[in-house]
Amino acid sequence: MSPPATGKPIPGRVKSVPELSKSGLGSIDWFEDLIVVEATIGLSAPLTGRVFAELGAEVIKVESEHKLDVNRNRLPRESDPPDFPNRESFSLLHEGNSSKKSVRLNLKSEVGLELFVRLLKHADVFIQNFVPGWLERLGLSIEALMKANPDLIVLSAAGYGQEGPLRTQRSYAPVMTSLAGFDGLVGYSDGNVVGTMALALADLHSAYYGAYLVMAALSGLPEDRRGCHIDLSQIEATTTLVGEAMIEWQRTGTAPGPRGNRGPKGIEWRLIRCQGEDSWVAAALPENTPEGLIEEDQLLQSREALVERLQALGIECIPVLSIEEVRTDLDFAAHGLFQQMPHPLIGSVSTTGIPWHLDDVVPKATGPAPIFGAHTREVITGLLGVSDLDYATYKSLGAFE
Amino acid sequence: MNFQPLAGIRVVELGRSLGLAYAGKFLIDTGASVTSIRTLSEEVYSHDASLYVDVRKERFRWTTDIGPSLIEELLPSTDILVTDLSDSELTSLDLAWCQIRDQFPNLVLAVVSPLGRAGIRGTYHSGELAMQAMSGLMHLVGDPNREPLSIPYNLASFQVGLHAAAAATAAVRRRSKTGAGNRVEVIGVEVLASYALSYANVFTYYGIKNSRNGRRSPGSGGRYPYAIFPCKDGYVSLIARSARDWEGFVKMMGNPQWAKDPRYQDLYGMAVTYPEEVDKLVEPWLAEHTRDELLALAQKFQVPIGPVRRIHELESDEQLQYRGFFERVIDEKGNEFVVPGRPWVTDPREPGVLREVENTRPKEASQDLKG
Repeated sequence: MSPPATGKPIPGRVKSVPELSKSGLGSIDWFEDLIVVEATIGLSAPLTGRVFAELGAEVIKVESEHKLDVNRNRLPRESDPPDFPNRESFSLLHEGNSSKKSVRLNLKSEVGLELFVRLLKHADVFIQNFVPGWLERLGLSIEALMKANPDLIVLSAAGYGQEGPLRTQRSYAPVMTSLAGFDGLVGYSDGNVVGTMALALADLHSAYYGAYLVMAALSGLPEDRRGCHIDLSQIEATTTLVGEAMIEWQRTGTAPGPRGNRGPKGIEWRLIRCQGEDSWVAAALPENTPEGLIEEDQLLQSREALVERLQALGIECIPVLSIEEVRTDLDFAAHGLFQQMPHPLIGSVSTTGIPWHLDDVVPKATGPAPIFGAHTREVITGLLGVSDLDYATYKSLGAFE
Repeated sequence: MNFQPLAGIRVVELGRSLGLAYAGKFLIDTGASVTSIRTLSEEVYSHDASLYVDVRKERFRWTTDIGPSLIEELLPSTDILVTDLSDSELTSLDLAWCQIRDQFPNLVLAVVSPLGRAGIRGTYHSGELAMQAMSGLMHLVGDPNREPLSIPYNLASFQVGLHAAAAATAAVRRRSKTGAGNRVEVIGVEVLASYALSYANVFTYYGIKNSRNGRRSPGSGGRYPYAIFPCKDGYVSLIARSARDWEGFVKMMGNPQWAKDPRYQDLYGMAVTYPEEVDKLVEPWLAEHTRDELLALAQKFQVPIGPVRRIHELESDEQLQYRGFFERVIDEKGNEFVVPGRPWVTDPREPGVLREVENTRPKEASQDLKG
């Protein structure tokens, strides 16, 4: 997992250390009256649920041995000992599911399904991203769930949405950035596509889009507030990223493609190599930049010196931080960008924070991703009020597999 | 279904940046009404961007004559004030949080910035480039032996707006419970850094170096393939996250003899140790097929493949068309453009019109707001 911030100075930024902002990590209770139930896999829709968990909601992830989250079913590492709990360790599991509860329900069993429906009657929000049609195959439907709980806000966040010819097509984030025209814009000025394979932007972007829509549904004026079904398409959400490019194509008659490092208004974004391994400064150079302002070879200069010199001239100029530098950055650490938590089975895990400052408080993750099914008894006997005797009966009938 | 839950919510966006304008766009898309007050005569973002994000807004230019009175007039009926002005600018306008929270106890204040408002980074000249560069995101994009690559257009500004709209809306919901507004803040570089870190943690988990790797995810993210490949008429992305995915690819390629070798069943080895070797086996087959042929095969064999679409091809995408995704906007000269619509099922709406920026405030609008 990610190392903690070490306080190592970052070239070009060292002077920011004494002046951190006043924001800090803390618990947020804004949504403490909400219950969110989710049947989700992967990163995107789980992260939507996690935003609510870290704003105080009780978020219950319904899971099953028969339909494991892909992030509980990852390839073991060679270094893992034979009894290593791979099901609890993968980084994206914690990115998507920190601060939640896990309830194990076998929805293919009659009793498991019954408890699932009862759970949803208690919920304010239901988030789901299985392939469209899964509820129907269980004998349920969104309409039936909303009839049973008219105030329920349902977010369906499938790759292609609930309807359409590709609705059942399998999708991963890089597939969506490709289909959305986004990857086709990224490359050097030779015009060849490079894309954004290291980023999985579609997942993260869609996760927060989903969170926004549910928050909007919860926040409408009281007379308009009611249950609803939000059919979010992740491919459409990703396509909203290329709106400006679509207008440019229609205005100029030329479809935009890769154009190298060039800003939105055509300003050159110069990448200047500096002292150190793979060390760069990025500068937005105006058209009237004097000759010789940027020396061709800055290898003997530090990023710090170059950034200071160009910033003093009013030029947007910034060090290009590597991921390791981001992880060890003091400002980011102070704002809870990465958070470490103890884990009962694997020592500790780290996860990325929700990057919001709410009255100067950055939401603190209340715990790692829950151990598979860890809260089943607590939720079924507590929230649903099932007696211990009945719980045992449900268990014997296979409800919790 | 018409999903407009923020109908009746009034928003004022005050400032100059595109991130701010995006926040207003997201709020409008869910039903809010937005008054945009721009503080500079110089346009800081392109007209194309404005046409995408500023339609359906009531737009005013800040002048010393009308600015303060406009704010005074608007704030009593405003639910969300979203701004990118600096703390000193807000103080000079009597709009700092400590100045307005007692006077307008229901108001939600959302502030946005590229690098934050404190420390030396808060004083930097910064915008889209600074957010991408400092977040770690840019360092991960591009060829390993070349300079890092930026993402064209305005990815960071878009995310600033999305997160500001979401955080502000959370505060509106909070207000309905407590009766009091809150201050929320979104710092663009932190949003992008959170994105970059989330997936970078995957590479760290598998002991793969976090560095840009051209069209391939670093170490293929631990399983082959995870890359963009050339094909007959462009590029496609191919992703496998499981043995099932890879078996589907192999079947799709007609079960070539080489795939029976255990060397080409070791997903981790292919991903991390010898991906180029496997590329040489896969690419000739891909070169014989167009993107659409590959997408059709992907559906048949249930494997994740994505054609890399060009911008002019999007409007004719059958899935996006089926869901009526695209909509129209109209510029000041009456020209219509097709743009991405709202990514959820909702009733269609009239084309968005980009109104001229007003230098004075229409009296009737003012009275309507007062009323």
